[in-house]
Amino acid sequence: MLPIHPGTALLLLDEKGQVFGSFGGDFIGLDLAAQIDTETITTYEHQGEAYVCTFMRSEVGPYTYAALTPRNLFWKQNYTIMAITVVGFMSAAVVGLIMTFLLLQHNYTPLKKTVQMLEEKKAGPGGLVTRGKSEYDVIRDHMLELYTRTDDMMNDFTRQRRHLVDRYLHDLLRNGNRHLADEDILESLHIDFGGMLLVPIAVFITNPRDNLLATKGSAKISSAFVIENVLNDLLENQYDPYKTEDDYTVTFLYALSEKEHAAFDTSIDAVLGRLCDFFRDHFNLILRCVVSDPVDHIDKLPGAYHDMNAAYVYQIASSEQSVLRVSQLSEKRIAGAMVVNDYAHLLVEAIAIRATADALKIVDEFFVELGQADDMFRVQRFNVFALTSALLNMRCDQACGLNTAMIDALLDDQNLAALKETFVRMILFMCQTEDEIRQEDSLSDKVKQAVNRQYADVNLSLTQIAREIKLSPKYVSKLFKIETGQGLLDYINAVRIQKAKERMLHHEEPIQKLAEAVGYSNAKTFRRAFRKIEGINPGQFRG
Amino acid sequence: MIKFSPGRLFKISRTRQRSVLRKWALSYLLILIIPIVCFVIVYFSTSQVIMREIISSNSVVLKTAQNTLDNRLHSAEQMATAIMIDERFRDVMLKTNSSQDIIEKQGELISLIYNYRTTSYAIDIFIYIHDIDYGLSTTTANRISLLHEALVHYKDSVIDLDSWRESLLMPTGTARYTVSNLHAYDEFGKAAIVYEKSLMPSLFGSCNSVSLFIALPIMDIARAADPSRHGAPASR
Repeated sequence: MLPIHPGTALLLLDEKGQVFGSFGGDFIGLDLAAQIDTETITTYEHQGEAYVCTFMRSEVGPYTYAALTPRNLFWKQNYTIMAITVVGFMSAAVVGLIMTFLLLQHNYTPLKKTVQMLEEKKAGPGGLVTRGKSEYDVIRDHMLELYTRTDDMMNDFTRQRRHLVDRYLHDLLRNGNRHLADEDILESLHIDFGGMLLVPIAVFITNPRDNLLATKGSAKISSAFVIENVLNDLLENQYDPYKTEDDYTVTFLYALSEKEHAAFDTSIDAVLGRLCDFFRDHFNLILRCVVSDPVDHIDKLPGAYHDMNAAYVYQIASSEQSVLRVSQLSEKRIAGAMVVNDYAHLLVEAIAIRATADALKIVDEFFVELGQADDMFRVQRFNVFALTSALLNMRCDQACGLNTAMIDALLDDQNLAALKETFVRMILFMCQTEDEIRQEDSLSDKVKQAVNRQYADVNLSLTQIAREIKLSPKYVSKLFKIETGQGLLDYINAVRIQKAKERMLHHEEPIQKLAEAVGYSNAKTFRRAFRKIEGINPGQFRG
Repeated sequence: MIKFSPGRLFKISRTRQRSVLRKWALSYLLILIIPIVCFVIVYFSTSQVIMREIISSNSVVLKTAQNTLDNRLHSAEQMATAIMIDERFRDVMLKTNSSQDIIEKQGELISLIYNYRTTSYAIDIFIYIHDIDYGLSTTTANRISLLHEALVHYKDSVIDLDSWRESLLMPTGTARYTVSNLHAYDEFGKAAIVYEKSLMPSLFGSCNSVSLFIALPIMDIARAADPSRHGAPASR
């Protein structure tokens, strides 16, 4: 409660409500008859000042006591409240106005400037229509229009890009003044096969409209020119466009478009062969060339590249020759690429669940199919190598144990039976590796071994075991429970009781001694544990 | 005269540019209103709290004043009764029938009411005996006419004798409070709450008709309830 204010006046009123005595102010003669009977809070105006009146009747005489407190005086005395209120009000108003101004400045100005910019850009007939639209409407309409135009432009760009490639190839074949190692075309035709970058040096496309390959000689000239350009690049030490992931290997991809270029097809082997020799002699680079099956349109190049990739893998595996034609591999092999993948998936699953027998069964089926294909051995070996490659890609963690000697062994084999034997060894190794990894990772086995070794130790504890296998006790306890479904303490007791039972069958020794022998500090604890696990007392068991 | 039509209004509003500026400004200002409204609410609630506190503190003051002042008024009533039933007073009033008897006993009576005055809050005790037109105060006793002369000379009284005598007359057996400056002798002219009481017939039978005036000074009473002197109560 607030203290009694010094400005409060005490009045004495007679029965008519007239003030006849006052203390704290001159209120004699004041008529408060109108206020005296009101029960609510009343105010009284006197000489321009408002007073809060409170009345109380005398219980003895016909008088009424009144207290008059000037409201304004009270407020002045408590000006802190008023000051805080006013200052807070003013601050809120000022800060609010500033914030409003700043927000409008920050948000509206860019909007307005954008609209102005658009208006300036689109001044004139058919310009920006802003009447009846908000700034948002104007900008949104503009952006929609822009997006539509951009979409059209992108379509145009795609068409232009295709046209550019076509024109480029036309120039390449007709004039022979550019080669495909140029960066823009490399980017256009670049295809990345799981990190193996195949660099195209020539691509031929049949275009019926342009009839680009009307003469055979143009292709020959073009090819020679391309090779010459590549050599020039390399002579100038510009290796980068030609390098693959192997720093010492440069792989060229070569696609032909039409089969009737027989003369060119024949000559290309000799040309590329010489090129390989030249690379080896001058740059110490191993050049591998893969000549693909022909494609009749640039959109079919990825399919051709798939075959080239398979051929490339085979080429790497066989290392027999620097120049390989995809057509040298049978049509069956191309279809078999999918079969290899299917077998690879099945084998990976079998290895993952340590189903060695299943894995060997799958291998048998694979080799039976290989034998039935009646391919030449080189193609068969290619497929085996492709399957190995797929396994390496899919199960690199399990296959990491494979060493290069095992893979090289595939290359040394000279018939299908030997190849199968080597491959089976490889699969068995992968399954075994899987088992070992699982066994090695089994924490519960380590814990069990530790318990079996130290069960007789009275002080055997979780902490001791955890310290031995260099893990935290909490972690060991949790993992052991997860792996075995049994608490570590329960397991220790089970082992001790088992050992005790074994001893009881072969030795006649007192319970106390038996308890100490299996790691219990006293017979009472041993009996309790025995009864808990076996359901009977040790004596009953012995009897 | 342009006739109002909704179509015209619609047309105008459609062609005008709809800027978001006005909406934004309006929304920001609406947000600005929130703290202002809060402060207004706080202001008025504070005002109401202060008003309640004023009333509460005033009530305490008034309660204190009521206790103090009612106690004094009550004590005046008690003193009047005590004087009335005082044996010495009754002896004089019952056993004497002439003014001569009262004059002989007046010293004793003056001493009596003097003693009463000194032990109370009263500033003056005055007794008017109607039958013999005689007045007694705490310092003197005499006929009313002589007392009136003394008041005229020494207290600058302007009231005439008959009016004063009439104000001193009271119906038998009544008692009341008045605010007056006439019902005293020693403190004549001072505004006071006067407790007036006439002799009760049941007590005094056919004795002299007597009026007793006990004057309590208003300023002293008001001072007794001085809020600043009492200070703030400990609790509501």
